[in-house]
Amino acid sequence: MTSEYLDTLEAALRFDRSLAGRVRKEFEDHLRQTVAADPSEDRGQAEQRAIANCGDPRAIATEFAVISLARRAKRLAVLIVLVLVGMLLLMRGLMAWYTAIEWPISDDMKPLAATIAMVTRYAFWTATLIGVAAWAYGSRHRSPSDYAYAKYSRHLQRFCMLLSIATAALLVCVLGGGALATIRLTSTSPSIAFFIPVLSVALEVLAAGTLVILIRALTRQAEFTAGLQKA
Amino acid sequence: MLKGHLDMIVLAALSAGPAHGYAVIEEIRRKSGQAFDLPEGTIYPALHRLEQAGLLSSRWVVAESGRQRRVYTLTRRGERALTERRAVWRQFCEAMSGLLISAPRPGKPA
Repeated sequence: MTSEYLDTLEAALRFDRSLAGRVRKEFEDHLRQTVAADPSEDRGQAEQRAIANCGDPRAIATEFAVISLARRAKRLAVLIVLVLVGMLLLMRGLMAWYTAIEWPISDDMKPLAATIAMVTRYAFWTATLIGVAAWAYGSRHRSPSDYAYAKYSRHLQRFCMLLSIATAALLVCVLGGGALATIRLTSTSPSIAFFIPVLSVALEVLAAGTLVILIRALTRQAEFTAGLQKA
Repeated sequence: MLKGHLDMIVLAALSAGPAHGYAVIEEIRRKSGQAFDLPEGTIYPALHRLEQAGLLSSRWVVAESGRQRRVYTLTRRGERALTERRAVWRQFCEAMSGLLISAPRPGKPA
């Protein structure tokens, strides 16, 4: 009976395995202590009472789910700022490197490169503006009472929207950076120096891809939590 | 009514010293003279929430039974939060007492 209860609780928290494991251990310990303290000699009845006193496992899981969502959202808010700073350093570093090794762009490609560079620049500053807004908004909820589900789900929706727009702008910036690197690479003969822009673009793709995956995971967890709340 | 005060109740229960979830529930029952018999499952999310807010810290310890047990402790921020909430609560109680327990005005027609 206790195992069934713990299994239901753990299954409802399967989106966050470390949390599910910790909660299971805490509730297992709690239920064992409650049963041990029960004066009744009938262990089955004592277990039943302990479980009834604990409450509906899905309702408990919903409360934990909101806490887990809040923790992940805060981490993501910090991550987007770190990614933006990292991207800025990468782009500045790459430009300095292009200048240092005097890697030119062929004349016929210069107008196209200038347009792509302009789009990339605007995309980056748009991502920065909205990313910082997402960070500020995501870090706003500090009080424990702010984690009431209805209130928090609205906050999370707005946060995910800001984060998605910032990441979309960042993806445009990454594509622009990739296109500019390709234009420069096709303008010169292959060498070991190719490694630097390729590595830089690969790092940008990795960072933006990680953000996309984490935002998707957060929205899926939010959908799962909404399902738990309705059940 | 209790739900709105759950965080304060949990913080107050932990003011006596570090404790695990079951002990917190027992302490709430004892200190409230058995008046507060909360659904036990609601205490654990509250403990996690308060920990996330930085008002509590926690660690695993091994109990005498050999089982692992999560013990929660008030952080300095938690102590400050509890002190603030106590002050607000005292003000609230004094104001409510003034309203509810004050003697009727003399000379008031029956």
